[in-house]
Amino acid sequence: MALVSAGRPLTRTVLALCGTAGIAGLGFLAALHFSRVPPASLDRQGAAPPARIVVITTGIVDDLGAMGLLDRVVGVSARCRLPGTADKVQIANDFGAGTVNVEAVMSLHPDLFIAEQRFRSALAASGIPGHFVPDDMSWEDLPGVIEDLGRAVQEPERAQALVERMESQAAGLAAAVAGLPPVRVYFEYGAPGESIGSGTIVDSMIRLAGGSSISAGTSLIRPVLSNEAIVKADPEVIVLSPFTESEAEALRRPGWSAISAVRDGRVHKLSFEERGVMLYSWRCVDDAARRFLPWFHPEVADRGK
Amino acid sequence: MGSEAREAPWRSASPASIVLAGGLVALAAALGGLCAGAVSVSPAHVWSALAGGSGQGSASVTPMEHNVVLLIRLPRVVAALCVGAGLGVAGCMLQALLCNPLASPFVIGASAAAGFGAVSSILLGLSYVLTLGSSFALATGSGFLVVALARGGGRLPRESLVLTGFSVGLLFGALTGLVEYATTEEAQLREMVLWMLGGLWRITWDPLIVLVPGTLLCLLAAARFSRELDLLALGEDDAVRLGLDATRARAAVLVLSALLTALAVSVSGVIAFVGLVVPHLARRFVGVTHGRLLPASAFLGAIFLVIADTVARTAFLPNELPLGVVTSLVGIPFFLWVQRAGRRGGVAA
Amino acid sequence: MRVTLRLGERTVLQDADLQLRAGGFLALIGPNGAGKSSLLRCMSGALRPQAGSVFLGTDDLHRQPRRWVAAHVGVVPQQSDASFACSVEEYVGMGRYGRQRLFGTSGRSDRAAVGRALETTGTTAFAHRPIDRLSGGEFRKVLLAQALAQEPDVLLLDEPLQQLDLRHQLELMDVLKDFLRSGERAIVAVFHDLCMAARHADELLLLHGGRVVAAGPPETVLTEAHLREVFGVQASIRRSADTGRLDILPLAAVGRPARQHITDAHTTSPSEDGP
Repeated sequence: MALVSAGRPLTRTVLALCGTAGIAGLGFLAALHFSRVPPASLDRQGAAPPARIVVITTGIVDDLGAMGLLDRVVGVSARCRLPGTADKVQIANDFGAGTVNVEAVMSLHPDLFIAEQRFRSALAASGIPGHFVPDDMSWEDLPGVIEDLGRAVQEPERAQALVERMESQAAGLAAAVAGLPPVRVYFEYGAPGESIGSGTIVDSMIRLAGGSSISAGTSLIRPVLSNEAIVKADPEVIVLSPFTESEAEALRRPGWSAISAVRDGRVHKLSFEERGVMLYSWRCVDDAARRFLPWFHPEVADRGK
Repeated sequence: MGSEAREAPWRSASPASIVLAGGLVALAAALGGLCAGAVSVSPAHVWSALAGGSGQGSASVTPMEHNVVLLIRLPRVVAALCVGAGLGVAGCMLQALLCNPLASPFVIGASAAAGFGAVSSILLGLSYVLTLGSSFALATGSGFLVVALARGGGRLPRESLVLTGFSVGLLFGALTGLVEYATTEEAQLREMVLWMLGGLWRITWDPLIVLVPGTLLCLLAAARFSRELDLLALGEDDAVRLGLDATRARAAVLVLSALLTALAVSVSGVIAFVGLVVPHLARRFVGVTHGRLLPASAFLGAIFLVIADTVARTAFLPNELPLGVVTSLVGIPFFLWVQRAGRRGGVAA
Repeated sequence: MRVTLRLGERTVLQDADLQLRAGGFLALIGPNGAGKSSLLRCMSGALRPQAGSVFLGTDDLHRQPRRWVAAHVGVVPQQSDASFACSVEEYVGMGRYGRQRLFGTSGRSDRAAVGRALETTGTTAFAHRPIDRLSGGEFRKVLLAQALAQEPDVLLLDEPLQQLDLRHQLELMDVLKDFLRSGERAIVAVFHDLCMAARHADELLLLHGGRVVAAGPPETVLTEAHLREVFGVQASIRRSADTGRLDILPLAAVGRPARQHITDAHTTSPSEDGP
């Protein structure tokens, strides 16, 4: 049981530790070095406005379309199914919460990349100039976002025109429903019972059009209401988004036959093309005027015609 | 014997030669990954970009190629190597520790804890760095928690570890669901879902400053436990009679596995099947002894994930497949094949 | 090497007291459930006695770290799971764990010890075969090799002759005799076969219901009275002319008439069915 030599195990241990620290240290230094490497800027720095824009946020595509700049957009999100974008390259993948293949974006040689804030770090390494919009836009944010957009694409006048159009439409709506008692509205977003919380664009549109969402009390984005709660709140109008059940299926839910909206035949389903109120763009107020107003206050809409 | 040679062709290779062979193949896979992508960069330009290092002075490499190779592909490949190696080794250690061929890094609750750490941090609106940090901290902490909870009478029995790990995982999973439901901002919810989905699509060099040395340290530390893992895999009675302090060894192995899992998951999210399939595949090549199995698992895991990541970002351009989907789609048939072709598990049940 | 054992486990063993002398071969015998294996496991450190302690020399076994115990006490268990498919050489090499240092890999002394263990047990021929490809007998030899590789001072065996054919039984007993040759080591083995126990062991310990009924050389322990009391068997005990040791021939269960063709209880002609 005598040790072969007292030094041997100790030197082996020391060597092992040094070797380990050395290898790990090398890895650390290499990563540190590369993290300091700045991305080569691919900014054209030219005076001309960007002519190849990749836009991930669907709402922004809509705004650019309204500004007549759709021809400058070369890449969109795969979830974007707006008219006129069928020929664009689809970048962000559909199945998943929306990741972006950065290299695919770069392969389009864009001048500008527009997306939500959370893509900022992913895009930084590419060197492409990026314009980032807030992750969550509320109705109040929209005019500012469109104005910033106008500056980014170097078309401030068109942006201004769009903002003015939006604001006048909103003012018109507000005037039309001024003084009228708000109509109780249940807006179903996706799964049965899944509604929208206050602060979302849909909620703002409901209020603009003279309605009041029955789930407005909560600050959750997608509060889930139990069937009982819906029946108890007794909405006067029910709007089903394109992502939820069909009207026929919804009407079969227990207790729904007693709801005022069902009795009065005021249950409406938005088709996919009609989902403007849900978009983060100028179209929300446009669709609010076109769809919500006649549904909530038919007497006003008729009068307006 | 011919049949044994067929079963595990490199059963008698020395660990050093396995490291060498594995390293070369991993290097080849990495270079392949660096040359593939949406932006076409010729291999010569890839090489110049790498050789040029940080300088942008190389005339033949355009700024775009420089960015693509050094700042987009290279961190992805390095991250895939580290995450793959880490998960492979963690899975290997856990299969020995729990004497269960179905054990994987996600059985001990570390990844669920990492998820909870990340979504909590997102809920609180903390920065990306803090999100990484909190998911890492919680995953490591859960390792210690499982050890502490599973301990009974000075001993750390296997069954207790399994049950405790499973319960801890369920707990954190439930808490994560609660946090997801409680978010009040759409963007946060999307961010959380994105994180749980996993993937290396937005990896930058910053997290690698911790991932690379951390993974290397943990892998080398795991190598030190090769003999203990062999003994643990024999089962309780045999391990003890041969002189193993089972309690201390189990605790150390569990914490080390949790650390490796924490490092991997905090950077890449939850990538399924790597930790489960890779050790079995490694066993088919080098046999059961951990002196060879650990390095084989590390390199196989690294190679597997680099290839999976390359496929994920080039197979369906311009879309990018989630990495977890690719590993599952490749991993499941592979796993079934491995089980059918070789009946010998090599891990004492 | 002296082992003093005082145990007071209430259910399994009651005040079992034994002393093992250097160079001695102690056999534990007794009917099923007498506590033989438990006694062995107390001696190996696997079981902790409720009262009393096990000493190896002057060291209390149960207070020592496991590594120390493995370096001094080698155990050949009754059964072991062979599903870990390493090679025989690697499996035997695991026995060296108790003697290896922290960052040590297998050194020259380790390889030499493994080689010697393989040679002594005659297992060198299949040293590279995976252990889950061995027959029962071959695996038992490998288990012995593993214990020998530990280079222990005391070797504990639980029913070592199980599953071995006659030739290998004798070979194994030769290996055990060699082990004792230096005079510094000791063996404790559980035997079911009283003949083998009588033939090879210097001392016997007869256990019954957790208590030590008799201890000492075979002559004092293996008496007709003991066999009747403890095993419930009528047997004939003679000294064999070939080996010089006691030979036991069980004849009939006590309280039951003999079914075989026997002229009287103490006849010397063997029955048809043998032991």
